[in-house]
Amino acid sequence: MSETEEFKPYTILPGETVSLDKYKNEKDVIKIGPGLLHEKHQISAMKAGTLKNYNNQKWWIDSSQRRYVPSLNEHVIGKIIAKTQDYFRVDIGSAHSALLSTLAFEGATKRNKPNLEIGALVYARVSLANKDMEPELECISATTGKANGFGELKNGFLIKCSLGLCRSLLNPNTPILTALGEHFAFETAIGMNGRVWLNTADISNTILLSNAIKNSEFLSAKEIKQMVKELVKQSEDDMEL
Amino acid sequence: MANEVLREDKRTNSQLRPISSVLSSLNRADGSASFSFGNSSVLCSVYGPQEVKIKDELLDRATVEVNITPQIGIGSTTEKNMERIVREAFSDVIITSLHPRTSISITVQITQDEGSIISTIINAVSLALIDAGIPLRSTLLSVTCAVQEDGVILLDPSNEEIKNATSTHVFAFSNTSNDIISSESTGTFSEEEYFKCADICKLAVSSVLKFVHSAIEHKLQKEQKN
Repeated sequence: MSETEEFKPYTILPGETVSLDKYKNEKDVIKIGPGLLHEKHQISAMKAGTLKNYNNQKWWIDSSQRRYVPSLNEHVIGKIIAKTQDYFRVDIGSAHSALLSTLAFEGATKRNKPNLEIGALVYARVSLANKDMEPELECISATTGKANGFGELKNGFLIKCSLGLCRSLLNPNTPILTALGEHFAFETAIGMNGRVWLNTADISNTILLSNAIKNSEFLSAKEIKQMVKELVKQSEDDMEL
Repeated sequence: MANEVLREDKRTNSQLRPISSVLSSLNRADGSASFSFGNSSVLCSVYGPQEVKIKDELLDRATVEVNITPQIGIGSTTEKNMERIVREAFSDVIITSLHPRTSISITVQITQDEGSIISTIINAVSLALIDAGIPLRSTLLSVTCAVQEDGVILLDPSNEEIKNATSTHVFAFSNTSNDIISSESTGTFSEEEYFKCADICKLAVSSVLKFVHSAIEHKLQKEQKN
C-alpha cells in the first residue's frame, strides 16, 4: 500500500484544479460530488467553497447558495401552482416547476386521487432530476411505497432561507432547533430547496421560531443559545402586556 | 523606485487603487456583490438559473443576460457596449450547458465611475456569479491600463488619466491558464505597447485574485461557524 498524504479542507475558487491521486490508496475509487468537474483528465472546481472529502474517496465542495437545483432523492417542499387530471404542477424554487403525479401518493388509485388545492404545500422526494427534463416528484418512499411523512403539509407557516442553512437544520444535533425545543413544542419539515415549514400550537411561537431560524445562519452555537433565550424572554414579556 | 514620479493620487505607475468588496449584500438576489477600485464602484446582482422567456430560450444551454445601468439615468450606447464586453467575456466562463432552457440574469448598477469601470464591472460580476453558485470554468478577473503620450503605462487609470492617454487597454484573465480571456483596446498603439500592457495587467490581476480569494474565504468562515 502506498503512502497517502493527510488532507486538510481548504478554500477553493472556480477553475482551480485539484489532484486527488496523492491522497488515495491504489485500489480506491474516487467519486466526485457537487461543485467538482471532470474534464480533459483533470478535476477542477466550478464553484467556490471548501473542498472536503470522506475517507479520501468521496470529494465535494461545501458551499451555500440560494437558488435550488434539483437533485435525485432530495426531500423538498413545494407549492401546488396548477393541477390537471393526471398531475400537479409544483413550484420547488428551481428554474423549472416540477411535476407530481396524482398516483404518486400512498394508496392512490385512478379512482381515489388525492385532493390538493392550488396553493397547498407538499413535502415530496425528487424522483427525477435531469438537466434537460422537468423535475418530477413523488410523495411515497422509494423503498417501501409508504407515505413515510411525505404528503400535504396542512396548516403551519413556510419560510425561505439559504440552502446551506437548510442543510445545517437537517443535522439532528443542530444547535438552533435543539435550543428552541427546550422552550416549546413545534413541528418542522425541512426541504433541501431552501424552504422550512413550521407548525406550532400558538401563532406567536411560529413568529418567534421563524425569526430565530432566519437569524441563526451566521451565529455560533453559543450565540444561538443566547439569541433564543432573549427572543423567548421578549415574547413572554409581550404576552404579559 | 524612489525616483519614480508619483501620479496625482500619489500612486506609483504600477499601483492599483485600494480594492474593496462586499459579498451577498442583497438579500433577495440569488447572488450579489459590490466591488470597487478606489472610488470606482459597482453593485452587481445575479439571478439564476431561473425561468426563461420563451423567445430567449436555448435548448442546449442557459441564456446569459447582462444589464448595466449607469449612475444617473437610463443606459445609452456606452452601457450597451459594456454589456456586450461583459457578456462576451463571460460566455465561455459560465458553464451554460449544465442548465439548459434557463436564464442567468446579471444586473449591474454603477454606483460611481472614476475610471477603469469595465474592469470593476467584470470583477463584480465574477464575485456575484461565485456568490450565486453558478457553475464556472474559471474565475475571471480584470485590470485596465492606459498608455500616456510619453509612453508611460499607468495601471488602473482614473478618468483624468484616461482622458490624457493615447490608448487604454482592458484585459481579463482567467485563474486557470493565465491567458487573456477578454481584451478591449481604444486609441492608437503599437504591438509592443499592447503586449507590455498585457504583461503589466497580468501581474496586477494576481493581486486582485489574492484579494478575491481572501474575500471568499472570509465569507465561508462566516457561513460555517457552527
